[in-house]
Amino acid sequence: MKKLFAVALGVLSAIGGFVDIGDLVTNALVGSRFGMSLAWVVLVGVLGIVVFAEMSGRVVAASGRPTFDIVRERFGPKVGLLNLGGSMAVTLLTYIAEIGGIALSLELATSVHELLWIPVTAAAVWIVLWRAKFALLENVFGLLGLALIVFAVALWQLGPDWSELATSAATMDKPASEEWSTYAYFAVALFGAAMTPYEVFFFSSGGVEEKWDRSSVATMRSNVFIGFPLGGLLSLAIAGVATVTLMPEGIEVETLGQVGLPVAIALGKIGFAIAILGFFAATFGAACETGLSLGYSIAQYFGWQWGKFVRPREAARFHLVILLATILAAVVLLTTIDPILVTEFSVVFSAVALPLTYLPILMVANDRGYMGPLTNGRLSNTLGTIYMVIVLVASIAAVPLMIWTKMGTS
Amino acid sequence: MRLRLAALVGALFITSSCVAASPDADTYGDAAASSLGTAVSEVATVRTLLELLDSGDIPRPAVVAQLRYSEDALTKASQGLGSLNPPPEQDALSDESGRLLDEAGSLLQEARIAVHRGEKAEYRTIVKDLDDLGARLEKLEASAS
Repeated sequence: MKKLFAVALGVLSAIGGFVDIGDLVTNALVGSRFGMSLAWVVLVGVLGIVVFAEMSGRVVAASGRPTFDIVRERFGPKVGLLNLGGSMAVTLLTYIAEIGGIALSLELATSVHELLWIPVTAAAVWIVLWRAKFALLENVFGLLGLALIVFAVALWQLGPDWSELATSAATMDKPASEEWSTYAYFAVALFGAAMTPYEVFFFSSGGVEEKWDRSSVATMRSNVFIGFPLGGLLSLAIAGVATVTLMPEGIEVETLGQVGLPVAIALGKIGFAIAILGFFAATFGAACETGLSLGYSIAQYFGWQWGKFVRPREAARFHLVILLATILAAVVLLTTIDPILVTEFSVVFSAVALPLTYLPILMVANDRGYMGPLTNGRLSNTLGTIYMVIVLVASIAAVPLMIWTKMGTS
Repeated sequence: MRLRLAALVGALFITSSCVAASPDADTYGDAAASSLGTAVSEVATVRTLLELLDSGDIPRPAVVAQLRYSEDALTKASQGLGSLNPPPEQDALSDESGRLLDEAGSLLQEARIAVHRGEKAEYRTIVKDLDDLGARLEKLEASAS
């Protein structure tokens, strides 16, 4: 019974914790401009994160060490540093976007300008990362993030023509007013949002925090195989409500308020309030995950003590990295840069950095020396190889498409 | 020599950045369509917000926050187009889009003031005006692109 409860809690947290500011904004924006014609990218992205999260979970279960600790040992400090530099730059960008997302959620709830919330939110995130226990911050924000189910309820309440939505998704055809280059740009951005690198850093190091071993593989797989796809359905629901309500009105999503507008149309004030709670939980949870990921990866590379399973005093440099990253995030946001713009950059550069994150995982998961009986099987390797090709194409295409389409505005 | 060349390139870059762009007719048309598209989106957003606020379906703080963003986005779009030198053959488009963008700015300002004062009676009049303006903006956007 206790194990069943742990599995259920893990699955629910995985669903609620799947969506972050990048998913919220990108899915709503794409839904408002392209309808459901890019839904296939969400499916491809979710399957990709499932494949690689399961792989990195197995690495932890087999070795008791986080994936990128092994990457450094297996590939040496130079390759490790390249991996660390690229991945951490993107994770820092995501961290800034998530803290900005919390401030935007609070602005929607209070009408107080987001700039005034930035110092408060940054301080709150840091205090939670410093003081709260790992299980608490993982489960509380994951469960509160389930408030985003309100988007699925709103879609059902709006009573759309389901066959029309399905046809739009199946035909993958862009609206006549959009260019194919813009379609490709948003496909890459959606893919980057679904496969954000920090998700595997957090998943892998979190497994060590929770002391996974070979007996934990079944629980880990249930979280990944059930929780992530259901989280992906939330992404599709966000795109779906935008397709049904915003697209016909010519509203193109540029703010978090516009992301929530369809919920107010479908469910009124209470629904909108629940959506704001979901925004807050999703961005706060993701800020904690990205902040920890920065500390985890840097501390693991340099061989420092890390993690929430030891007292802050014993992992002082790990906590110092998180503190400095939080201060930097607040300073960047206080320059009045638009957090939504940071989010758009973060999902595109996530796509650029994907090979740096996923190639080492694929290689380590094939190393019998570390993995023993949990080494990749034929299915994992086939999927992993196919995804490496997709990831490479997305990575190479991301920046040229961003410049060519002026970040999707042309 | 290299230093002088770098200084010259730098000076040219800075000078050219300070000069208003003079695009050809097609590029100006695309820029106008993009600005008008932003205006269509923001006008429709504010119209929806006022309808929801009037029927009590959205919390007021969220409307106040979104109105701020919609006004900012419209101002940026309007200034962006206004900073371009239109080619002579696009004078009519430039005049008409400038007029409609100004009108949109005024209506969004009216909406903000009405929401701030809680003047519910004004909402429906503004919604009707936004509806009418939205249709004209869409028409001009379609002809510009």
